[in-house]
Amino acid sequence: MRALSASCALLLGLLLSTPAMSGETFTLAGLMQQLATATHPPRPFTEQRQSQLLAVPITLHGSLAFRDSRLVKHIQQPFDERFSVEGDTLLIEREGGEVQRLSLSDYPPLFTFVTVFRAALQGDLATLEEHYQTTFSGTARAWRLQLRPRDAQVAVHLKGVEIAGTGDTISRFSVEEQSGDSSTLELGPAAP
Amino acid sequence: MKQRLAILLAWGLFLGCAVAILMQGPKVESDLGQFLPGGADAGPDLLLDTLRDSPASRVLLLDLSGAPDRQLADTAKKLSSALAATPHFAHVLGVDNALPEAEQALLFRYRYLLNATRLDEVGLKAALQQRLKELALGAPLDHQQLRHDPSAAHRQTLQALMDGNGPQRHLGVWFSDDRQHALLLLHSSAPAFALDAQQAAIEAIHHNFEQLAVPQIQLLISGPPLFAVESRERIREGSQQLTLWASLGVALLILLAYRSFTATVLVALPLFSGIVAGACAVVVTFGQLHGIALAFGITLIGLTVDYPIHLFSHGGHRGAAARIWPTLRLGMLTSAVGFSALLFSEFQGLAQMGLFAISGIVVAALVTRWVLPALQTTEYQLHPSLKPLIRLTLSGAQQLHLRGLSPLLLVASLTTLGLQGDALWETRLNRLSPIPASQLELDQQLRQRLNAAEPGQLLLLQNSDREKLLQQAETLSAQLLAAQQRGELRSFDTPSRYLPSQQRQLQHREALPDSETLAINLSAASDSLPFKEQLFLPFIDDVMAAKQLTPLKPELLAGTLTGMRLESLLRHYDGGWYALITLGGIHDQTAIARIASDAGARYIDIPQQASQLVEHYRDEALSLAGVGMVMIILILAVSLRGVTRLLQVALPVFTAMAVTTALLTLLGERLSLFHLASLLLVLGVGLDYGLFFDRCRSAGQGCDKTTGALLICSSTTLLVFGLLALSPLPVLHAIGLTISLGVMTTLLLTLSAGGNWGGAVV
Repeated sequence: MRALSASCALLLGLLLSTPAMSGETFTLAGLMQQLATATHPPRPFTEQRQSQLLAVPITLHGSLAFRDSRLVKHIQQPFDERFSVEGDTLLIEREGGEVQRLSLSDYPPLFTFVTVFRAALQGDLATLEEHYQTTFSGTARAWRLQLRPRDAQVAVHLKGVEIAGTGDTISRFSVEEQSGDSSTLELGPAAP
Repeated sequence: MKQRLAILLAWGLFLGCAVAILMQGPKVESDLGQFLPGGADAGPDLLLDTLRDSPASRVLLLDLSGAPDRQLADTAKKLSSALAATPHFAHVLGVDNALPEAEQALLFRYRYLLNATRLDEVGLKAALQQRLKELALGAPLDHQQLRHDPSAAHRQTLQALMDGNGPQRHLGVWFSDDRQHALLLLHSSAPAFALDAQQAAIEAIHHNFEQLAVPQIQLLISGPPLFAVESRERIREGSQQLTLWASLGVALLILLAYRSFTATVLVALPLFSGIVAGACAVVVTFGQLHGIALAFGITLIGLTVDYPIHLFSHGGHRGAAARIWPTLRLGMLTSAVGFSALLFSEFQGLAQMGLFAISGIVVAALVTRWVLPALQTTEYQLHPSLKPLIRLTLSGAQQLHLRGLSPLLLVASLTTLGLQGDALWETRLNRLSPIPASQLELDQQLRQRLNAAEPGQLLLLQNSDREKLLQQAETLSAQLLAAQQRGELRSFDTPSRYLPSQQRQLQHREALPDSETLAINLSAASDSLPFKEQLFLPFIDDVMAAKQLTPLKPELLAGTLTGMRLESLLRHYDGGWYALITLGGIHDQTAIARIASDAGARYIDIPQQASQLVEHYRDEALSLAGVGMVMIILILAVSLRGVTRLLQVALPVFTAMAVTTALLTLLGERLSLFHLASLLLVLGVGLDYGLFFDRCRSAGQGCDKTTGALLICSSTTLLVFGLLALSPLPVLHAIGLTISLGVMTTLLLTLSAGGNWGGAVV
């Protein structure tokens, strides 16, 4: 099943991709390889969250960094909170120095974000395909990777994840939940 | 012939009746409490009850290791849901198992009475900001629930109930700090002393774990129920094996000595009849029979195996029975009188033990006197080939010249014992436990990993009024929480955690605003926040509904998981209510004791209380045994009519008892109730030895038959109890060693006490 969908994705990638600038065919596997070798400097982000409970979406500003398998999401606006994830440990540092240590798997939405994001940055196609059905489309200039959860328990809450980017750079990360809530995280260019 | 038939008929009738009574299924109690003093007031009664069944004594600790954390977590989840589905466990902690829906709904309805919730503008604003943050961060929120409960009062209830003082959570499961061990904590439904139910629970764990087929994962189980079940198993297995070997050995010995199969079978009849009679007498008198009384009772009447041996050595026929009867009768009488002191014990267990032994001995003697000769077909005799052996032993014993040494030995032994002081007695109860030290160490480790309560430490609050008691528990909990934050205590559990007092619930209710105020507070609080308008209307409705609620009473929680936890900590005894507060990881005992006494609570240290109780038990057994010995001496003095004969009979055995005790302490043993009971057996056996020698001496007819009988008697005793002494289990070892040493010294001293009768042999 996994092999089948992987080859489907590969086929789809082949069909949809146009030759990259180097002249090679642009595939998911190729993208993953590029992502794995690329450097990921800290980048500013803007995240919009829409909810059935909210009249207006919430917007968060901050920076996102990834180094040595450690993902740090630092929200600066409208409040200051730093999330560091390493393995399954989630460390939350709040304003005023309060530190909370949690298990990532206790927070499914965050878990989804972190595992997918981390796997994408590391070019870890195997992990992505273990948990999601992948659909890859676009060109090297503008690619799009859609993920649908394989686990029925996860699918109860999570509709799907979409990652978009240019070359070896991820530019957007959006999550759609079954409740109708959704969030879109746009990454800006790295500080020079 | 007619008389023979009548005797057998009477015996058969008696056994039939006795067996019929026993067949009616009287309870053989294995519950320690039944063995303790009766008719005490509620305080000590509750204490005993707590000793038997404190909440922490029902807890089993499970540890899964040997695989990556994900696999451990997965296995822990599967195992916990499988176990929660069995009837064996009231509570399975360690995995995020949601409470049953009905219970959740009940607690949700009462959330504003169970928790203190700030519903003014400031409190609401903080709560709403927190919810918004959670929403922004993508925390798992139930939209509907959020509309009803923006201040997350229900989450507060659940956190208090489920998490308590558990260890850190990882992958949704409790884990040790190094994440190498997934941990579960099970509360068994059955009380700790219900050993069969506990055994079934432990088997259910093993069975369900095997079903998961994860051979790479190692499962460790620990906790008081496991120890109790294993102790019983070990003792049972150990004694069953030994009994089998000992019975075979004794049968072989009798066969060798008398070369008769009938004798081999018949030798067991008096003992067997005695056991039936003893059990029957106890059941008829007390309505039940305690397992410990049964075990000790059988040990005590083990001396009746000697009766048929004396009979067979003198021929085994009716004439022989009539000839040895006066001696046998006196032996029986002295033993019975010696044990009769136990009847007056305030401890029902000791009284049962005494009654068992007396009835057993009397019946065994009667069976030896009347039934065995009636069943006899040929004349038995010690096989002639044994005679040189007898002679050799006798001269050997006499060359030891122990006779003159006897008083010296007595004095030396008593001095040795006197010098021991308090070190004489075993006060550390766990020393008597058949559970290896390594396992107890593992238990401590698991307990630390799990933050679990120590089974032996708790606080006890008492009040005639349940509501007042819960209020007291609330005050005490606040103190303990402060102590916990100061590091004086690792964890504690209190009934007020599961249900606040009515008073506190009313306070919470009174603090709830009316609908207008709440609406104003809410709109002020959410003014600058992006929540949809009218979003929290269900919340306002719920708060208004809560204002109409009467406080949640324990009765309403009956049958729920929360209710079960509450019941285990909040107990009712005639006339009063008691709250148990369990404690874990006490670092500062003085501080905790001070908090307890300030709050009017009793600090109970169960190991200490238990050893006090056992000491009390032992002291009483000791003084009763003393009274028994005095009565024995009086009876002997009257029957033997002379100080010389009295001394010849009694001095060896009393000396032997003192020497045995001294030897035991020199071997590094500390004395317990088990040693004491064994010494009583030595006394009974030794008196018989002395009396039979006295008989042959006074009759002037030579003591060859008596010596032969005595050697066979002591050989069988040594065989049985020598095997027992080899057992690695402390209790069996104690009994075996004491009786082996005792019988050996008694034999030597008795053989050498005769002095000038040596020439009369053969």
